[in-house]
Amino acid sequence: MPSQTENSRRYLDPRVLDKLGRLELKARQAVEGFMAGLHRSPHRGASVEFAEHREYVPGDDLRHLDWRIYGRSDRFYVKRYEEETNLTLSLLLDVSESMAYAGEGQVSKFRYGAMVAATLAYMVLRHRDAAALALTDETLENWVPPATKPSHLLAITEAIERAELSKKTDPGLVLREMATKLPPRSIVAVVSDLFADPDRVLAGLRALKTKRQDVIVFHVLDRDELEFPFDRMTRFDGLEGFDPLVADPKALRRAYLEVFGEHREKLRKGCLSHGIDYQLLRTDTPLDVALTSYLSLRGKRGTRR
Amino acid sequence: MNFSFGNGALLWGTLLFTVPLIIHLLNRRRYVVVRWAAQQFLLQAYQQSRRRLTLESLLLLLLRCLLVILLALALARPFVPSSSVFSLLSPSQKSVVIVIDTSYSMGRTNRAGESMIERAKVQAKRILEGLSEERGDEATVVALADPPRTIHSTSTAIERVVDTVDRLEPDSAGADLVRTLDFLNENLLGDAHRQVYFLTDLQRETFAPGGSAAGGGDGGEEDGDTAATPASAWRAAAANDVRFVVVDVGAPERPVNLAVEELVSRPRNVVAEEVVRFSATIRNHTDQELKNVAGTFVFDDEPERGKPVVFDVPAGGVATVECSTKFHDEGGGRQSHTATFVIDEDDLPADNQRSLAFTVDEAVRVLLVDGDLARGGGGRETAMLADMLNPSDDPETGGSVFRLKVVDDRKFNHRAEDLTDYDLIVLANVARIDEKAARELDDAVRAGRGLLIFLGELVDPRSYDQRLYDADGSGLLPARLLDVRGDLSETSDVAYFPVVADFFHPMLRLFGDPALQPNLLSVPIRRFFRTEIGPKDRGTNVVIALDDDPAAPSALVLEKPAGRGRVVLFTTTADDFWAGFARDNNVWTYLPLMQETATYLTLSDHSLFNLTVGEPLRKTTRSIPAEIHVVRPDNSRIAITDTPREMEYGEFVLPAFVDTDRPGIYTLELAYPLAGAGDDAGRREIDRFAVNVDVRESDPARVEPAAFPVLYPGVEIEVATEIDTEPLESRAAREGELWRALLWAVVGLLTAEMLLAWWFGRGYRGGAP
Repeated sequence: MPSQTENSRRYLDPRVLDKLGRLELKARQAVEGFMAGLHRSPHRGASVEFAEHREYVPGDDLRHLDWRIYGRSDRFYVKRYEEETNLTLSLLLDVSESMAYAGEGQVSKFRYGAMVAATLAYMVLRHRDAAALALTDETLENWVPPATKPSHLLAITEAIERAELSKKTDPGLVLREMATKLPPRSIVAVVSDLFADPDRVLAGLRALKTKRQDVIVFHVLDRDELEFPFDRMTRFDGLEGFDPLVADPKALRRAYLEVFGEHREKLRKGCLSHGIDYQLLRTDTPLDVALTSYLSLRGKRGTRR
Repeated sequence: MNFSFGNGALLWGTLLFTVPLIIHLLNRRRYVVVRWAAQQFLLQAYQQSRRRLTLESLLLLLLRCLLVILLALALARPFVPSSSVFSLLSPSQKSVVIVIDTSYSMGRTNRAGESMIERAKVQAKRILEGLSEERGDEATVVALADPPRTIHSTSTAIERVVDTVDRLEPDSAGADLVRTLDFLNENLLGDAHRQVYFLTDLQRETFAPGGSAAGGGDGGEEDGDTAATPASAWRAAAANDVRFVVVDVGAPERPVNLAVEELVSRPRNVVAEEVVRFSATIRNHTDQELKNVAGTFVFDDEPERGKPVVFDVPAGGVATVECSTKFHDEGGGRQSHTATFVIDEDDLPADNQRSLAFTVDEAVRVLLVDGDLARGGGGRETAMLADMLNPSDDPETGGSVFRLKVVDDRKFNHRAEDLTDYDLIVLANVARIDEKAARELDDAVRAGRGLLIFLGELVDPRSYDQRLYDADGSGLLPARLLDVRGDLSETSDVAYFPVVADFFHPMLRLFGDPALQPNLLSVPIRRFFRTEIGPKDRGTNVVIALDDDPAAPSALVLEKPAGRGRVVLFTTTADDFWAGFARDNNVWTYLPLMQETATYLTLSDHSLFNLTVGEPLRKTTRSIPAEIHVVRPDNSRIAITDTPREMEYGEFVLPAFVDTDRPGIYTLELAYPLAGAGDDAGRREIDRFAVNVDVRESDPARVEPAAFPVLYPGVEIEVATEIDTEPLESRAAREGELWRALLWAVVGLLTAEMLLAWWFGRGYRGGAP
């Protein structure tokens, strides 16, 4: 059993982190934007930073009365403070068997997804925000609750390490369950290949969204799945209990690409129509490139908001 | 539908169609295994396109199997019979006519020692090799010859045609292009798509205009209706949509060729115990003088009697060599003899010898019937004529061949003389002719005697016209006698002079020398009988005319053949009463004229015994022989069993012997039965015939193919020097077999297979969507 640090390292590619670190220096604005985006929340509460005054109404906490204004004007004003929120990033990492697929010379979708999750967790924890992890197999069993300690990263990577890729998952079900469990107004990042009924997946995502969660879908796919480059007679042994199929891939390619393209397009459009960020991640794309491009894009969007 | 195969064993190759099938099945077992995540999409895609995929793979499999089968079929080289619908795929059968020049010049050898006929045979066989029996190709082989003939009739058994060609030898005759083309036109060129190949040495005599008259000898006059030229004959033949290919098998270099052009005897009537000179003319067809050429005179085919001579011949010129001999009287009447002149072997052997057949008698017997004799003329009428025929008995020059007997007209009319004892009968100023005498005379002439008629003041023209003339052209007289013209009075100096159109007539042979012609033309004729040549007197020929009326000149000398004999009519007198011939100053005109006339009239047998190759041997006898044999030059003895035909004048014509295709001496042996043959009973008779080649064929001058468009304008003739075996074969193969079509199908299928395979799998190479 690898040690905790090893686990952290496994999922935190130093190059990626270095890239992201440098990104923080070189493109601070973009990253800040992302983080700001993450923080952007109208939730106000107890805070050290004063925000505004308003007239007292019965029931207000008297501790927040501004006595100095009362002394000057005989009116009761309540001080309002900007809430110093502790942002929670909930990472949902798909551990279905299909995530085990790795094209030739590529990392598996699971490993790639794990790196995405760990990297995001690292970034969030460094900002002293909370990160949580849920491994989305059949049920939401492996749940690492949110915490802000930097050491929490180890808990997360350990949980990933412990994960067993199960036969089948129902992302729709898992997502709906997550919706009940997660604190409201957190950011939910779903890392999955989403090989499931798109309607059910979208229903789950919608459920998250209605809890006013900020939902980001990282759709992790292998190049083979996107391009189907096989040309020899092949027996495709289906993961997740699907029947095997012997076929000439050349002959099947067109039909497959059509079916798969339809599936992806349905997911993408479904996400976008519900204000869910959809980001395709190809496992042959370097993680830093994929993440930074997404983060900078989101950052720009966040500042515009 | 019957297919046949060139390489039937390769048909097993069609079983290789299982190979794509096996590969297909093996391919379904030979796969790589991929643990695949997106299986649900793949399965969905498969469900959607399973039917299409199955169809596509079956289609490709079918194409590949078909490819293999067709390829194997093509390699097996299938043929289809012409009757099959598949023959539409292969062009129709070929029909080839091969015309091989078999004239004797084709026997010539070139520098390589190869004869033209051998070269022609090689080319002919190449043409035949290009044909296919399976396809039903047919070939016909025809001789470009005189006369043309079919060597092998149209046949689809090509092998047999090849055998026939293999055995082909050159003829000893010439070639007649016009008749050959007519022959093709009439017999072979009815169908379209014929290809006609002429394999020839392109001899000018055959191909140049005017060089295609019928073979030599007197027979030439008989086909006077062949006004056709080679050009018109080509055009007529070309009208049949025929492709002509002339294959030049001749040698371009001029060969060494000497030809014996002529062999004659002097005198031409040979009599026993008299010296006779034989004279041979040899032409040099080479462009260089040939020295010390050796030749030999051979008599009666007996080499031991040969007389060698050595001579030089100038380039392109002639040499004449002579040899004298005597023939002895062996008793038993007229004997048949031959003389042959042979020279050494050269490039063209066929014309290296020439023979002459002649009869030797103790003398040529002439009966002179003097119409004036009984009237106290003292034989004046015929005296001069007798002198001319028998000028002297000088042993130096040899005595005359003519033995004369003079009788008066009464004896003649009373038939005191047996006319069959004579070779020539002369009627001079005979007043009238009795009916029986006329009949006897007619029989004698038709049986081969000569008749020479002179007229005069005693002649009663009505008697002549009644007894000897017939308007239907069957009489002996060449023309009807009319009236006398001319003035004999002392005061008149009116005279007419001879006019000659043709100095080549045998009677005028010696006047062929222009120096002597004025002598003949200046003989005054003061009186003559006018004559009228009837429309049916077709055989009548005016040898010498008169200058009395330029528009319608009267005749002085007329001739006419009658049976085997011949009649010559002088419309004036034999003595000097009417004509100036018998005057002293004209004796050197009269003498040769009478000598030649008498020879002409008594040599009627000459043309019977001296023939050109291909002309039949003919013989007339007085009774039917019991046995008839012909001994050919190769000494083969052939019995003739057909029955002789009886002629109206009591003689019998023996069946003609037509197999005279080789030059040389042919001997006819007759044996008469002991009973029923009259005078001939038990007698054996031998006649020798000389058969010679036509010397025109000896001239090796060629027509160059480049001259065809000029010689035969408007006729398309391809010219080749070789039949190109390879293209012919491949063309034949291409046209006769299906493999070409099959290969095209293979190529088509291959293309279709590749296109379909690309189309079915195009998603892959098309790149990411």
